[in-house]
Amino acid sequence: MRIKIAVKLAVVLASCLLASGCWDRREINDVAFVLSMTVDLAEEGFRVGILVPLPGNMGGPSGGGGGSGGDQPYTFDSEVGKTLREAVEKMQNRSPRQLYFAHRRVILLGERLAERGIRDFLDSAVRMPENRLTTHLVVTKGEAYRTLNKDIKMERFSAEAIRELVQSDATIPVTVKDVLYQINTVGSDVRIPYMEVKDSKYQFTGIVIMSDGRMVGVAKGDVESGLRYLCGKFVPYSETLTVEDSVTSVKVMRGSRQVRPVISGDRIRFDVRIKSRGVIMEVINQGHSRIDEAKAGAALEAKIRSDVEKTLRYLQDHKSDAAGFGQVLNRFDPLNWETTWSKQWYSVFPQVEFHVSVDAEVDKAGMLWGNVAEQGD
Amino acid sequence: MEGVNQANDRRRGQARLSIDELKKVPLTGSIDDNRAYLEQLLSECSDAVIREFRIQSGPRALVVYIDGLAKTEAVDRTMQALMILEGGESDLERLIMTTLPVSQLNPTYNFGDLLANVLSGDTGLLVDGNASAMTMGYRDSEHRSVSEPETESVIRGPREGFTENLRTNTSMIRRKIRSPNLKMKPLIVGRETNTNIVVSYMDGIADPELVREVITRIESIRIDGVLETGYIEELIQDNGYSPFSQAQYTERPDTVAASLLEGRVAILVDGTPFVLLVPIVFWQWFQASEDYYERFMIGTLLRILRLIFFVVALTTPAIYIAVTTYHQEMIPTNLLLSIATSREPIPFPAVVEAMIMEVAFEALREAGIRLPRTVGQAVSILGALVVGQAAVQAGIVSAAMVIVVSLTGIASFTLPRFNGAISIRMLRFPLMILAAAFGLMGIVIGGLLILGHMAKLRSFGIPFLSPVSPLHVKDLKDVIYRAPWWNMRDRPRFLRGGDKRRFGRKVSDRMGKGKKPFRTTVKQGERDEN
Repeated sequence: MRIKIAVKLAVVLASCLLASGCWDRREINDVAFVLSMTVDLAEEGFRVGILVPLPGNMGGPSGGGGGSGGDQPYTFDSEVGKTLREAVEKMQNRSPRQLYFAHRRVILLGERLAERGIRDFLDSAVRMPENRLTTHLVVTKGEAYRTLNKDIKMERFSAEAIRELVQSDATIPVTVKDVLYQINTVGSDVRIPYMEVKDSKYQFTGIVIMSDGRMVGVAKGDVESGLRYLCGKFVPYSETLTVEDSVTSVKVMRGSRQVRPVISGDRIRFDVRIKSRGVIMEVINQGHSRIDEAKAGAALEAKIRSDVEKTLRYLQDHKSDAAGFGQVLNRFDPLNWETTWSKQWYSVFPQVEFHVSVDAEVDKAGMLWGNVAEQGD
Repeated sequence: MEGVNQANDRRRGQARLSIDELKKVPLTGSIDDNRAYLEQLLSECSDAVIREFRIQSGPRALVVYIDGLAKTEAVDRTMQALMILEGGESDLERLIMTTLPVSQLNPTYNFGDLLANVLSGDTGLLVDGNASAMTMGYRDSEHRSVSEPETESVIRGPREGFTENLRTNTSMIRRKIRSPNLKMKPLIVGRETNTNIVVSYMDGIADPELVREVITRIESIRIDGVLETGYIEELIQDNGYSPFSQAQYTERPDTVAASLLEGRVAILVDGTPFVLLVPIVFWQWFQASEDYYERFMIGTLLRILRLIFFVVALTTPAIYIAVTTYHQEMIPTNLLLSIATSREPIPFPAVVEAMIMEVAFEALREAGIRLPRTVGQAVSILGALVVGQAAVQAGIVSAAMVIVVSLTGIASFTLPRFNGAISIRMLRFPLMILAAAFGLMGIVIGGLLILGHMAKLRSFGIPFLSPVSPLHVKDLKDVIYRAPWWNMRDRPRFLRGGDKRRFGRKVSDRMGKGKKPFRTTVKQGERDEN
């Protein structure tokens, strides 16, 4: 009986051996965690840069041997190769620790690479067994690897700072997963945050819009605000408006869009209905009178309408369906989408008409001067 | 005389006679023969007293007792009563009826029974011309007074614990359950120790099959001595090679009483304050007596906490090893970098590091138990801190590992049942080795093996994981969730007891509902007895 059990146990454990085992052991001390990667176009292929933290320089108890190099808590390395993999292998061969890509938080793409197209890069990024689909993507102005290797004040690693910024309200974040979905479906296009370095600080100045996986433009300012409503992932932002004779800052907290296609013959019209809720944050008031919420709302409405129309025009001019109107149409009329429109969407989309209606509300007018009772209305 | 000769014949062949064998040797009518044989049996026993005297102008008699076990004054009083007895009565039967001022009397007809009782503290009285002896229960043995139980302390609940004296212990249970249905079946185990054992159960509530099985198993024990309940536990368990104990031990009379009322069987052993309770299920590891005294929400929350920490105590070191050596992608980046920083100077692989710390911790804990009680706890905690701190400073183990070990230690202390906790402490190490060899998969395989073993294990025929597996839905009210008392109307079904209901229907239906005021109506012609 006991022998039987022992035999069964041995079989179970032996079958474990076939699956994994101690030869796959990878102590933390033998691994270099790549926090962030940059990809640029180079003369003979790609230039890949990696940012690796140095645990030995990150404070904590000092003891025996640990990696160290100066007093920076990280090290940066970059290399050129015909493929991304080749460049990574070259770096691996001169690194004492195993490069480990499962902890990439953010991947920076150079502007030139984005203009040439990101399909090749995506292939490599997803083929790596240690990829994370939740890694954030960012396109940088100029060359990405020059951007990453910077010492910034608030965070330990530049990669961390970029990731925090991407996730803040500064821009509309995008992950590898989103990009894969958008690039593989007709009727939606990729949009990636666009980052610049200004006076040695990272700043997100716009949204890169792509057409068929290639960067075609950067939505900035009003166009970017409009994109916040259209792309289905609203991120709060601030707007400064002039209402009557006072200037007011409004924080737009919530926004949503509803798109309804209207088809007449072969003409397509999209009815875009936008709802938005804002909060008055500040009023620079010359008239000492209480700001009127309805008027502020109307001003915000007008602003949003013009923003959205600008954005739509911009998208049509650049043949980029970054707001995913094609997919809306697909859900509305799958049969015709399959047979006709999807085949020629990039020539159809610029001809599409839009009808924009905005409903914005602003509240928390509040008051600081005067008597509340006298203001009663 | 013949019996004595037979015994002597047997003594030549065999050096010693046990009590059982002496039961075949009858007492004779001659006091001289009996005395001679008793002296032979009790030779070189300085604590045995054999005193011969004469009943007033009548036959000779002798008392035999063990000094220190019997109340000497009471024996003296009895002798006095017999010595001044008028009429020279010689028949024992009549003596009992008229002169002996003793309530506990047992007639014995052979040397085995006589000696068994005398050695337990009774006093034997032999009268010439009677082929029998009377044993009188004048017992006066030294024992600890009742004090707070050391192993199971509570905030709320009775503060009395069992003592080493069997009679004290049975009386404590009897004080809690004043019912004629509380049975105490006496047994004697141990060829040399002749230890008194009491199997206690509630007649009509406990499953009679179970009671029979317990008694049968205890009776079939052939051992020279029983000094603690552990002897019994190991000899009557279903599966001897299991890492899990299949009986619960407790020092608390209230725990025993509650278990008896649920339909379990208690085994009391003379000479130890621990009482065995069978059958046991796995979930009792998470149940402290206090859960039933505090409000039910608190009881439930504490049980959930214990369950979580049970898992923590079992798997934390193994998970640490697995995740840091195979699955770094599972750790949040910032935490991973902290761990990497603290592990940077460590020269050992994670397994070795974990093993060093865990073994050191176990050693410290053991040292803390062996030390005198006053210094023990302080030394173990201090030692762990100092050793851990110093080891981290010296770069031998990482700070993360110290946290893991501390967490594991604390977690294993949360289980109210010590015999469950030590099983967990033991099983941690194989899991660590599995984790080191196969990562998380090893932990899963190990966990499955443990679970499979638990599912197969039985305690007196009751599956170890009941009432969860096999499922008894009604019994889930007292597994992890401790239902309020007004909902616990039925006794646990999986124990297959007799009487299922705890409450009378009428009372229980009105309790906890708050619909009608709780009122007792007295019918016409009925007088309130209270």
